[in-house]
Amino acid sequence: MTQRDDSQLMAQLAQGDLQALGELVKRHQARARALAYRFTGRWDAADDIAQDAFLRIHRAAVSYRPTADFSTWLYRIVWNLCLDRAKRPRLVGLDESSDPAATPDPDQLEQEEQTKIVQQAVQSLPERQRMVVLLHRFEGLPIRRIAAVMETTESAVESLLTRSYQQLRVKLANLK
Amino acid sequence: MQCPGQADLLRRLNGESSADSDDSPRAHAANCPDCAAVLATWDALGNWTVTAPPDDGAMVAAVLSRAASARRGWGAWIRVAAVLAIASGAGWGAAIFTPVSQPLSMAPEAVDDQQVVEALGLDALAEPPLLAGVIDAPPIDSQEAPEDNT
Repeated sequence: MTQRDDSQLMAQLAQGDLQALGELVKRHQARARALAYRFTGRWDAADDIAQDAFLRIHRAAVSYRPTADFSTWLYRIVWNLCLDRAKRPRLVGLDESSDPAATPDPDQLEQEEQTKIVQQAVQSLPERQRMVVLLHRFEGLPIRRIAAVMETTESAVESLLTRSYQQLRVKLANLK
Repeated sequence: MQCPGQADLLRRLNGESSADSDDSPRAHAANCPDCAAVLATWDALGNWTVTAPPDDGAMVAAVLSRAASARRGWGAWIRVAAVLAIASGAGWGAAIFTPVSQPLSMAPEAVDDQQVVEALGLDALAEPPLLAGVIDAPPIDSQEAPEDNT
């Protein structure tokens, strides 16, 4: 059995096939959750954003035209939901990914400390700069696709990216 | 070696080809302090690994449940709207096409006060002496003011 591509699944979803939606969620939830988590710093918020993104996809399935890559469209929806979330009052604190009951390993502690510094540095960036860095460095998107996700020009993305790296350079100067 | 600029370096670090140079971005950064700083920041960001909490199909189940309930919700509203449309159409049709056999009786144009009093059974009350002072009393403005003796 050949694997159906995303646009075929969207066509089936437009005809009311919810199994196609389930398949799309399985395929893309990891990237949607990770991007939303890196943006918000919280897994509960990331899960809410990912769920809402797939529900928006469900609602828009009838009018979907495969003019762009499906994941570009998904990233754009996640980006818009992240912006909506950023307008709400901030929840205090970031999720702690480490297990407090685990035996502290010095190397692991150092790694966790570095992760926390990087996370805080990225999350201190303004929203557009933060999203550009996340899409570029962690999702591996080329500049052209980042511009498509954020509905802007490639030169604007390059400008945002350069400014972000200048700010991060200061904040991460002491990191190994 | 000419510096390609930070934006171009970032493109190349991400695997995007550069038209004007095919040398390694790391080889270039070794001799360019600005690009070395960008490269160091790029590497530092690589420390941020993310491990998602186990999902066990919860996301798929939640999305499908919400999608199905949204669909049911719309279906219910469509059914209610259809029933209302049919009912109002039927009511309008009945009002338009039902023949009227005789005209509705209308109230008389002029009503005699005495008929109303009799119909309501007030004529008995109007007889003296019960309402004598009230009915036969002169209007208030025509009454004389009490004499001031002070």
